[in-house]
Amino acid sequence: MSAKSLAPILAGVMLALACWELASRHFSGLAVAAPLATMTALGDLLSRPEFLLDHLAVTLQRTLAGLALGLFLGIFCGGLAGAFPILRPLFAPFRWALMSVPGVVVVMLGMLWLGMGTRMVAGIVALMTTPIIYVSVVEGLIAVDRQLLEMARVYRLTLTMRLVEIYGRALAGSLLAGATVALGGAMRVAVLAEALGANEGLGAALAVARTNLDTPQLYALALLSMGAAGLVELLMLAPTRKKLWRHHR
Amino acid sequence: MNEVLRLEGVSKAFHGRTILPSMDLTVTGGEVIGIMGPSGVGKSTLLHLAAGLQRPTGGRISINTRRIGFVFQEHRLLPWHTALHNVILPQLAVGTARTAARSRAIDLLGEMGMGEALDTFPDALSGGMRQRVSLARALAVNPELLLLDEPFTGFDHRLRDTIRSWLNDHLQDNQTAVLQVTHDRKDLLAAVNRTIVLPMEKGLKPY
Repeated sequence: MSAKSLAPILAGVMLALACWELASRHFSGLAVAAPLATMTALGDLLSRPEFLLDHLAVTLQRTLAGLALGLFLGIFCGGLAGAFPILRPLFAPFRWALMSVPGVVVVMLGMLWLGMGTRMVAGIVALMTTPIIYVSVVEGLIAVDRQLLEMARVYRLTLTMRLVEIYGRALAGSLLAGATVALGGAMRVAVLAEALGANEGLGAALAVARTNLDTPQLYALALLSMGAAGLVELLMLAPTRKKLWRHHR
Repeated sequence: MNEVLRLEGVSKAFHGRTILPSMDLTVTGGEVIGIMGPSGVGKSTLLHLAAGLQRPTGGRISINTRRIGFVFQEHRLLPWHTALHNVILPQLAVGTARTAARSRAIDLLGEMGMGEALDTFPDALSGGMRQRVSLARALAVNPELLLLDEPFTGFDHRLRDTIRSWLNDHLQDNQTAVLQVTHDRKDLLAAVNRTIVLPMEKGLKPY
């Protein structure tokens, strides 16, 4: 990223920080923590190894495990529904129910079905991300270029070649978009599930900070949740996106 | 001569509208046939039938080869692969070794004046360049049946003459059967043995 394109982003960050600082001066420190206090709390959290291991690493682990399961289920079901349109109406009620039910309801049910802790959080993340991935896969398969499939028939491209070179590539764009949306949603729902039904993780730490009325730590944990999702996207999705779209001018 | 393609009473209709009336045609190895006619008479449909991409509404088609090269009106290149890889891929599908496929692709693209654009993606190529890659891809598989659907679209006059002349020479050295669709008589290959005009009315008329 060039300095020229970075400047407006930096200006936007500075503006947001200025608004935040003004709001913290106007409202009580219990409602809005000051940016400096938040950064101090964040530094304190990140310097504690037990926090990194018991909370940050646990949330990332649960989110990624749930996301991986959601990706597997979404790709599997989406692949089936894409290949056999007759299955789409069968999957439609599940997709609709999972996409429209509020996250907190799923968390409550997840606690009843799976108890507290990692299994519940990862299971809920998988449940909430599966329909997003499913829709991306089905839409991607519907949009596969029929002309390229005809070309593949003429030149007798093997099944593997067709799957990789045509279906896979056509699917990659919509799947990547779906995965980006799912990642943000996964982190949100993981933190929510931990806040309501876990003793470890960023959500659990958030619940403790709220109980202790430690607003700077609450804000620091919120920033950390956002940062963690951003980091995963930067490290995993952004390079994939760059590689996939290298053929565009 | 071996028979590469036979159409017996083949017709094609879409949504009840006849695109191609009943047609008989036999194509043997080395034969170069020009298909002409106004827009909408089923010239491209005929090529799609010959490639096995569409089923006829009536009649019977025998395609007696598995090696078909097709230059589509729209180039149909894989946008995520370079010009070179687009020409390599179909060769790999028919079992050619990667090194040999690469070498042949480089030769063919070079002969078509595409030597400088081997590693360029289709999005960055002009229409005429894409069509040349499509032609190289079709020839790379050593086709027994070559289907050309308006193959010189996007070429300027000079390039059209160059590629047409090169293709004529290339065909002389091979026993490739060719069906060339064009709406412009000037585009017909010099090697054409027969020309068929598809008229709007029913039936076929020799040119």
